[in-house]
Amino acid sequence: MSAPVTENVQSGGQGEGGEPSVQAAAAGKGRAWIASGGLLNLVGRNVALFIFLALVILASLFVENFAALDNAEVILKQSAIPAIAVIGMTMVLMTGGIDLSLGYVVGLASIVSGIMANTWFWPAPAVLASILVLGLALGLCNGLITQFMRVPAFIATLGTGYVLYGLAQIVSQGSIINRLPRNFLAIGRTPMFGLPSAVFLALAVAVVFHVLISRTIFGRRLKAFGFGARAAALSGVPAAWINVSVYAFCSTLAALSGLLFTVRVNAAQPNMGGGAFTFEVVTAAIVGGTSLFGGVGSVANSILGVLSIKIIENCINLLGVSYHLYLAVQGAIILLAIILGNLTNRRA
Amino acid sequence: MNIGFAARRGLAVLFPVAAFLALGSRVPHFLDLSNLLNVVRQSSITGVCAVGMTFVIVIKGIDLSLGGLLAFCPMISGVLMLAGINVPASMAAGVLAGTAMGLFNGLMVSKLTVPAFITTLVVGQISQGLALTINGGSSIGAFPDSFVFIGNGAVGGIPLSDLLLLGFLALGFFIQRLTPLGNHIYALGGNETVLRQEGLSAARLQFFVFGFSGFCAAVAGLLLSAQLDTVQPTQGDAYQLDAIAACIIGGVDLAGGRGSVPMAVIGALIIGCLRNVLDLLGIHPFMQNVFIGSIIVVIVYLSGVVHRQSELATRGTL
Amino acid sequence: MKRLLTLALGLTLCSAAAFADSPYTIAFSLKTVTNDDFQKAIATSIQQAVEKSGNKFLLVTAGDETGVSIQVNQVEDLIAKKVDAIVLNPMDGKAVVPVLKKAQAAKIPVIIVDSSVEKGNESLYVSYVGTDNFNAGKVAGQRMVKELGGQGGVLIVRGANGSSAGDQRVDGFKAGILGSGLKVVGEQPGNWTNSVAMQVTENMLQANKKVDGLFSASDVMLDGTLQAIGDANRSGIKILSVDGSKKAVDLVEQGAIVGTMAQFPAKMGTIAVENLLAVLDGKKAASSIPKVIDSGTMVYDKTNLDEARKWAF
Repeated sequence: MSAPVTENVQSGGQGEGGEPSVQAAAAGKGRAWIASGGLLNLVGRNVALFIFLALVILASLFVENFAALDNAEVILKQSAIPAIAVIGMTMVLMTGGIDLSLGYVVGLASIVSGIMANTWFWPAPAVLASILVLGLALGLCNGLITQFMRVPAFIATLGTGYVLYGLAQIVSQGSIINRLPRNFLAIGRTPMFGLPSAVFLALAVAVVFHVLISRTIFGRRLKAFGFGARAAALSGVPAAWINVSVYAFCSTLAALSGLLFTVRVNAAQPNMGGGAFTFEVVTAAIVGGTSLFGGVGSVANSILGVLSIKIIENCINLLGVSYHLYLAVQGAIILLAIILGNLTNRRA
Repeated sequence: MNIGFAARRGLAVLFPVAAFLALGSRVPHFLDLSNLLNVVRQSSITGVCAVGMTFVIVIKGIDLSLGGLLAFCPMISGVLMLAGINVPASMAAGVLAGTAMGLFNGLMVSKLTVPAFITTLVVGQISQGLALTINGGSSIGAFPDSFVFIGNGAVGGIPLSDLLLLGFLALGFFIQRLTPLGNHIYALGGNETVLRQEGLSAARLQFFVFGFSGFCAAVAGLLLSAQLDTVQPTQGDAYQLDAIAACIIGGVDLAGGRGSVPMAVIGALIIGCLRNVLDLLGIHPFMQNVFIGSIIVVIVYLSGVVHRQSELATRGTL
Repeated sequence: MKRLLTLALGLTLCSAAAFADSPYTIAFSLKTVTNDDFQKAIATSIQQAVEKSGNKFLLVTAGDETGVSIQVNQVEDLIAKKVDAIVLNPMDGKAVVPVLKKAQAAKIPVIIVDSSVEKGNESLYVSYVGTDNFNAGKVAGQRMVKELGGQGGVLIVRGANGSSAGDQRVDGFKAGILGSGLKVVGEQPGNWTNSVAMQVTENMLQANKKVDGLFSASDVMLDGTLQAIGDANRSGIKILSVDGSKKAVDLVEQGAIVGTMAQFPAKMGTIAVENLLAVLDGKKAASSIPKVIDSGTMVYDKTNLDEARKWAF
């Protein structure tokens, strides 16, 4: 893992006028490793992880009430749903695209799931399946418009996003539905090992997609697509369908997030998620090291990005930072984290 | 940038504009002079932002700090004006603040290789937070008449806002076409080998581009507050995505290296007309979102088709 | 609401013809009706009052909680469209002043509802009809003092940053608990949405192990707030809110919250339309209508549920 150590050792003891000892030699070797960038290399390759660990350590030391089991629970609960969404967004970003309709898919899925569960009295599994199908269909639209109508992803998904927001408002007539049926709420709220089932659902989704991206041909092709459609085409890869499929996955996961949000808050509303949620998810992916130009990204790192952001939010609340400066402080910390990550990355 | 390409791109955008105007004539009151002047006035904020945004997108960046700067810069100027400082000095302070934020973005992107997305998003959030904190979340207003005149007054029947927009269009066009700086910016976005051959520094260009975008945002923010005679801490939210959409509708390529300022401004006008027409038709607010989304996609699709057709046509004649 | 949709579709189909003659077109401009029963209630009552009198109703929303310039642009477009009268719920009391001047120049009478316009501009509108938000917050604060026996820590879930109605309610609440032993131990914006309200409440509860009371700037955030309290297994927190919606009245009945400060959006709507029609028909001079009409407020709690149900929206 670490860089090869050059034997250019200046043993520590000599400057003091004493003979070089064995310990001094070992310390010297260690310092040489650090000096040649071994440590930074280690950090640089796992920036997201180190940002996360640094935040946890700093927060535990300096923020009252942070290092408590129930606080950790709260953070996990708050991270589960954005984690699901970030997986889809990471895949889209890896192809060099973006999905601005994500937040609006969440809203539409929310109100539709509420209607299915509360007004039509559908059983929970049926609601879940239908919402996933809805997400899949919406994602396919995004993919087809981007790939075959050659509309830039930014505009295509912005446009579909607006349309979906309008649809969500029309479907809901502006109202929200609350007090949802218990069997529906059970999808995300069934307690398992002290945490709501939504957390484990997120874990399962993460594992599935991690395997998909890192261990299968689909994943390899995905990365190739990000690095250049031409290169991918040369290697005989059906680039078009990869592009379409990532948008399909993204919206499906977004729809799932919408359903889980609804369960978490026990209210189905058309403006759930929205543009702010989209930006939160993209930011998390970038903190996790995903590149906006494509080719670089990983499920695990993006999820660490989500956790990092939620930790920051949690600390801001625990510290009682003025609500006006909330976003500003959060933003500054994220910037700092990325700068540090870049600084270490460059040495590597 | 050869002229043939610009002309083709121009045509690709003008088609939908022409179609739009033709359809617009069926909408009552749309072609009233007062309404058209209004539309330009309403689009001027997005338009001025789009001038700065064009260069940012050309160098493959993005500027998400507009929302915050559109509130922060006028807030600075507003506080100074209400404290009795004269209008020009107060405005200069606000513009300086915005430009400084933009330069900070440039610094982050060039020296610390932070993705533009993150740094501009964060700077936007910080500016927004400051705008909220300066006056405890409330808006400030009732500014001196000379300031309000900029947003609401007219010269020779033409609103000052429209003239300001025109001025920025000219400025942007001047930089783009008539200065070596412009050429270098497009080289950075499209063909970096040219840059290296001439020994130019990408960092300095990035500084300028983001600084200029911050400058445009500051001016746009002052214009907005002059129109509203208020600085509302969240007044900038609506313009962030509109400015980027305006550029894209105007043919600025997100992959970098291509796009022109006048077309981006036209993109802003298209968006303004769209909203105006939907209002004049009395379309239900829920349906407005559906319309706006679909029409934006259709416009970009059509201009893409026209652009590709004309590309094919020229290739045939070579 | 379905009628709204049909009306909108009808308008788009016969856009050429309908604007010249006798039915008045009265427009209502506000921020949004989405996920806001209160605003919806005002809109519905205005629509009913307008249509009952044989006139045309036009709903114009900015679709956004924060984009004040969108509303200004829309009102400008209404003026260009030459509507006969406007009911306005300003997203910002200062930002609408220039466009009110334009409406006045175009001789279009305007009545303000719910959120007020900046003092000093009374000549620009016929009347302001609304709840005294500061007072509503103050009464809630005084009630909280009574509920907690004068001692304890309270959390405040605010509205969106920059919302004057929300800010006034919170300021009023703080004035109401002034001088008592109550302390505000946490205060965060819930942005009028459940998901945000839930997250900030969760975090505030995490930061404060002893919380006795909670004030929510609006009923729309109660779902998320209550979920957070339930999830954290904290019971016995006395909750007060503002709006007086059906949902909140149900919660009062169940004992989940202590009470909600009523607003009377339906009254706001009918009073506004009544006065506008009187001015348009020439039956009343605009100057004869009182500048401020208080649509009233009161506490809905367990003692007056029947009264509450009559008015809850």
